[in-house]
Amino acid sequence: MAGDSNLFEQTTLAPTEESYLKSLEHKIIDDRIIRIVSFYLDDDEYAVDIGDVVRVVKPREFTEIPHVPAFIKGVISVRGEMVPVMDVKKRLGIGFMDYSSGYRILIVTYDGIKMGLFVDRMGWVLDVPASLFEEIRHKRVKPSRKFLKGIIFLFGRPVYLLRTDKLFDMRDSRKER
Amino acid sequence: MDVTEKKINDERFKEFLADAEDILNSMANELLKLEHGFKKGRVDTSVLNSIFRSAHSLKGMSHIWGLKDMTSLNHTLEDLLDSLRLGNISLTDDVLRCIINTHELLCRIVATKGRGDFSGEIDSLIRELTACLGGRQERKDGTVLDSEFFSMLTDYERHRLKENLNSGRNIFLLDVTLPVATFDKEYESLTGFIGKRGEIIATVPSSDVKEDNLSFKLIVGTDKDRDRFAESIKRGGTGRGISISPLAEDVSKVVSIISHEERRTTPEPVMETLRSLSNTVRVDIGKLDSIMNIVGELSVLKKRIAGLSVELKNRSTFSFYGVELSRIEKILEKRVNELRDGLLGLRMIPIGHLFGRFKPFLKKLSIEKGKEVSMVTSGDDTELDKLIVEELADPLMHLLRNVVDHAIEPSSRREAMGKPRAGTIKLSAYQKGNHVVIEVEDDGAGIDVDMIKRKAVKKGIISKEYAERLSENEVLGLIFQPGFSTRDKVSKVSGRGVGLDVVRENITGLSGIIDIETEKGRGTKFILTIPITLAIIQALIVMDGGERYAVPLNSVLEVIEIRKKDIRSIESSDVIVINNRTIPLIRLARFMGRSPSVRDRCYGIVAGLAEHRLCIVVDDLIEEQDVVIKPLSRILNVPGIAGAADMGEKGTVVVVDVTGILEMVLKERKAVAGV
Repeated sequence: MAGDSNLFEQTTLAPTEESYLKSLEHKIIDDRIIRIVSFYLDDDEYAVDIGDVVRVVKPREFTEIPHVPAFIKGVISVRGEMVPVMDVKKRLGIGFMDYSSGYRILIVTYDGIKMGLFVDRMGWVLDVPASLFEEIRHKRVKPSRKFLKGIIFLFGRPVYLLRTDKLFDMRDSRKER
Repeated sequence: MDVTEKKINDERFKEFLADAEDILNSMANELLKLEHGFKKGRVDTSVLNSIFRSAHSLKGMSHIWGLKDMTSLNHTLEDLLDSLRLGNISLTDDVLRCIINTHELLCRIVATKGRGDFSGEIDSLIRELTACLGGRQERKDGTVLDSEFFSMLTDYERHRLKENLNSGRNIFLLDVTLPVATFDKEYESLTGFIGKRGEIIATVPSSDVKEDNLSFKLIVGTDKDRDRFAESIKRGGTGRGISISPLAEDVSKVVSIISHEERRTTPEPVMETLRSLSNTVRVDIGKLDSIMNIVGELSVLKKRIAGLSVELKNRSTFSFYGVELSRIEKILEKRVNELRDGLLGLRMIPIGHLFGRFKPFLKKLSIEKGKEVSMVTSGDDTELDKLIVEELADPLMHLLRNVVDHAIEPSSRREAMGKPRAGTIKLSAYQKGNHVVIEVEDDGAGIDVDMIKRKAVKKGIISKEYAERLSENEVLGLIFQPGFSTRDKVSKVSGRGVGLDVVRENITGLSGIIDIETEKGRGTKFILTIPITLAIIQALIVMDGGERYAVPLNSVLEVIEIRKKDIRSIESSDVIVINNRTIPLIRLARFMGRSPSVRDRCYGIVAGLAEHRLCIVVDDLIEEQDVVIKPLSRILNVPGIAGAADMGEKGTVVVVDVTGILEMVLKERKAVAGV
């Protein structure tokens, strides 16, 4: 990425359309806006990077699969593709999904793999200034720290930004059922 | 060969190889036709022409890619073929063998992607080819049979000449000189006489006119040979001034001259074009797969429309629309099925393509081993998914290698046993429902069951106690074990203990089954049962422990009704006896981590993996349905599950991987048996 000096040089040139657009591009990067999609697990707000989100689907019957980690509840068919569904609460160690209340399945992707996450309800699509983003410094966080990219404090409330790569990593989990 | 690595990686080089393969394939077919015709004493010039064209395009292609050896080989072949079709030389056993050898070498060059070094072989073949060319025979009848002469024939006369040649008649050229005075009368009586004994194909006026005499030539086709024909003409008293010369001792010469002529009048566009020889489209099979997925989606949508139409029919105000919708849905179903079948058809190629590849392989192998082996094929037209055919190449090769090495006895021993000197390997294929059965049958020594047992114990593959308890079928299964070999020494052909286990692995990977039938001293038959395609499968939808599962029918051998009392327990594992064979048995629900229901009456699905059998018990059979198996997900690798299938309204079902389950069960039981 071009540094500040480069940006400076460009702004001193005659303002062609190209250089103008380029300067805008740099501005966005400099101001660092994180685009997230948030959702709720119980009363806490969580989020994933918007680039990881594929779509949100309504609850549908899933087919159970044996011999998989307990937090994988089964598979559903989404547009002709089999997508595993995950009880994220169980994965994060903060309880488990209550299917009796209305819930949504947030389909996220990482490295070409799709996964449906059971969430209690969807939150918002947000552009968050990077200044609000904090890395996790203290050890004691409710969900296991390895699944978190960081915490965003919005109006004083924490939004936990999740790492999809770690959610998908099955190596640490025992196969059960 | 001066082909750089860079070129080999080049996409276009791959294209060239594929094209070359295509051309060589069609050339092989034409060569077979040529050989066949030659044995019957007939040479079809269109076949020669087509082989010539193949060699010609191969030459051009290899030249572009700088494959000098291949180019010069093709060039010499082309010369030979050109002389052949122009009738300058005639087809003999030697020439034919030479051409076939050249083709075989070309195949090998292409197979090694031009990297192998065949320069020695190429040089000697080129010498042989040139020798064939050098042995050019003088045309005995060249003076009359030049193209000028033929240009005087009408189309009909040429056609008759060809017909006569094709029906194997002798063709004679009669030089007739008749006095002008009595010409009309004598001509009439002569032609009338000959007409009774043959056919006058053409009458050609001759240029050499002597005074008072008129000369002309007659081309006559007759079943009689020269002497008898001449004699009968003499006896007929019309023999004055007639000389008879055989026009065509060698049929091919005349035919080729005729076609040479034809070629001149209609120049072949193929020679002067940059267009590709074949008008086929090569498609990445992955693209076909993705279209197949769309067809699967269409089927699911169609089912939803069907559901909707039923609902509409039940509502009185809309019943008309319901009926109409269901009619349309029926048509849609038909079209979707056509689309699917058409798509499946695109993937299909005849297995003869594969069989043909084994011929040179077997030839080479039998020479190496000093055994006489001939190969017979049947059912070459049987069609299989291209992917499956390719997957079959290696296992069949290993199987053939084993047959040559182990089953076929040396000629001397065969003769002593009263068998023909040369062993015969019969490769046959036929369709059986949704499967293709491929049989590899030999008339060799057969498999000695006791010897297999002893060797297996000696090699530590099984314990002695265990060996005693094995049935004959199970013992035969041992030859597929990794590391099993009946040879103590490793030979060039086999004996390293790799081979048959690879065969089993490959066949299993295709959800196929291997059976062996053997009779000591009489021969062995390996029977491979392979599904025709893996893209869309027929599945049996079953219910066990309250959950639905799809069982691919291609691995199901039979479905039986069983009662609780039929199930026996041996060493804490359940078995069932079917047709005097003890088969391990499992509950599907238990395997899937659920608790099976308790019922007296249930169903057993008997499945096969290579020579093994397993009975999977389920509560209920629901229906048979075509399903598209979708892989679960890369991160979920579950043994025993092939994937899931979308059933539309009915959600998704788990597709059981029968062979996977069988493999797991076998491993478990073996561990219990203490092997």
